[in-house]
Amino acid sequence: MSEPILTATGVTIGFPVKRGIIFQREVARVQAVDGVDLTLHQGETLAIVGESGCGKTTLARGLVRLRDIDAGSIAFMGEDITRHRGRALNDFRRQVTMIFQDPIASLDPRMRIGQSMQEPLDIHSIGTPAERKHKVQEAMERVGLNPEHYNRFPHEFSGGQRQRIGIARAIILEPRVIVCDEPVSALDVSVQAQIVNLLEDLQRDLGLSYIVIAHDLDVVRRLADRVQVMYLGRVVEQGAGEQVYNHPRHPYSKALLSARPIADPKLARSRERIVLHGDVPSPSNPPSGCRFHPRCPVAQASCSAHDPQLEVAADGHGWACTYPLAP
Amino acid sequence: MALLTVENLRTTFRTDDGPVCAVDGVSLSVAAGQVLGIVGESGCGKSAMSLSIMGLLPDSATVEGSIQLGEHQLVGMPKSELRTLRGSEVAMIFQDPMTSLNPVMTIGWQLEEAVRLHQKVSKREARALAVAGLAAVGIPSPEDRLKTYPHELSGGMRQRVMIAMALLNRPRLLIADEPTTALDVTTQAQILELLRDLRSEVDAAIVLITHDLGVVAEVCDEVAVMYAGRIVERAPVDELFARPQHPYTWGLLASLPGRSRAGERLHQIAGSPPSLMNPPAGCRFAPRCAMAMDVCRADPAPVLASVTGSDTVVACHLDPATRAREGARFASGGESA
Repeated sequence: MSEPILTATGVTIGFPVKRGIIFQREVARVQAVDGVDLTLHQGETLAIVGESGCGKTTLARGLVRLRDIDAGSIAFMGEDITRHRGRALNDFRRQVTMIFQDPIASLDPRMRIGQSMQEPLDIHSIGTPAERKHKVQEAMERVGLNPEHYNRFPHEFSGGQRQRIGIARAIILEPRVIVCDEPVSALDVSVQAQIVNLLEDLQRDLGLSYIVIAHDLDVVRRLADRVQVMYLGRVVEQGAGEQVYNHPRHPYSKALLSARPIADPKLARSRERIVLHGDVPSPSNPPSGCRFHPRCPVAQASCSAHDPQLEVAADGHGWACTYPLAP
Repeated sequence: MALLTVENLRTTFRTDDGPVCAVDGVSLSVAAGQVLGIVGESGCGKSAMSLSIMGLLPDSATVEGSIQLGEHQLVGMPKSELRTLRGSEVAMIFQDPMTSLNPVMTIGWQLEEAVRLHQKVSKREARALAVAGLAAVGIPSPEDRLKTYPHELSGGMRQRVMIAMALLNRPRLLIADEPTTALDVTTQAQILELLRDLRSEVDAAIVLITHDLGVVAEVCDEVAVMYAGRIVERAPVDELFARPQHPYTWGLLASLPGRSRAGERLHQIAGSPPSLMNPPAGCRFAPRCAMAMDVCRADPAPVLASVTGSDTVVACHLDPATRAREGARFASGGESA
């Protein structure tokens, strides 16, 4: 396997819980991400999946240093960047960029799209104004936008085109890694396919590595080489796409997979399905023992006391469960 | 006997740039105890159609055609009469339960209001009905929940409250507009299971509007595929997946990421849907259709015609043999292929 390009070790990110109106004091911390390890290799796609509130977006923001992390470390190409500031942080941000879920919210409605896409070049003072414009138009062409639309405003574009603008802005700095936070979940299915194909083309042509945050397991299956399943701030299972999808060992992964609607009425009626009951518990007061045990269909008495740790086998498949499912 | 029969529905919005026909001659019907799915992408007119049925469109919209619900003709019905029907005979569930619940009123207050608007009952009886309603949609300790505010509930719980509210007055028709789109897959599975159970219990007709073919396969009995304001194909759910007839339906099926094999490019429908301000002549899908012929690009547009040997109707100029051959490539696998 190729070199790791981005690694995270024991990353923990918390949010303060505050009390008081004028003199706010921190009374507790909610651990949104709790000791997550992750390794992204050169040229691969790593997906992070889980329900809302599992900490996947917080983790993504921590990885690109949009949020400070409380504990643990992040290394990019072997260099610890956890405490980088100023110029060093800027250099890191040239190499690792982000695509957001909602292309409308992430574009300034009063800024021409050419300007929006050029902004990263301005910030990092790359090239002359003419070169910058040329670079933007090149990027527009690459993502399938008409370069003549350089001077248009975001509202003149459809959802899929806006997501292409977001992608063009993410590749303009020629990064090594792009963190994609729900890149297609706001799009229609036929447009989704266009964006998925575009992301795959860019990866092949530009040698990019992706971290994809998504809740749509079918899109993940399509894009990802490896998958990490998160529940309440922790990784509960990880492995190659084939391992996690075809032989899930953690009951939560299995439940997530079986909850997907299947676009085949006969199969949908005949398959066995695990419907999880209840909601994800609040991370401010996680259950004792295994965090999944109150919703787990195969929980045993000891699960409420023993907190299983993620153990990864030599083949890269790992799970955090005392009573894993048969492969 | 169909409960809801829509015939030749045309919904036109007046805009500063001229009229926009969001729904253009749609006909469909749904019987009690049946779930009709309406599938299509954003802007295809599926929400405009459901709002036409509910009579919830702004004054800038004109609705023509016929919407027959039981003995009531909804097109041209005075607003005051429509208001008494809404919430009692017809109810609607929206995509985002947070914006459809009042954030400053308790769940109990909102449920009791819905009961007392339509039924002459005492406060105590309304409360009992509200508790029963919450229990029916699987909300634990419903009596305590009456005192909570919407923000205290999770997304799935809020959607359950919305469904409970919609069912309080035993509607005969329930319109669900993207009821699970804002939810996680595990919660979506719970809500879909709930809808399936309710269908048999309350004996209401359900119109389910969605963009997700997976959701359609899970709960619907019949499906109508909409494109640019028109229905292009209507079929029983098994038929649609086993023998899809319209090229747009093929495109939708093939775009599903779960269906492709690794290494294979995901099928994409070229281009994007047309503007309804100035729709293309002839078949509206023709500009994006790989199999379009000259006849497709000229008026008159193909009309819905039944496919021999099935209950499917399709609006397409392709000859049946070609459609059967091409359609088989997009049919779902397993024994149905």
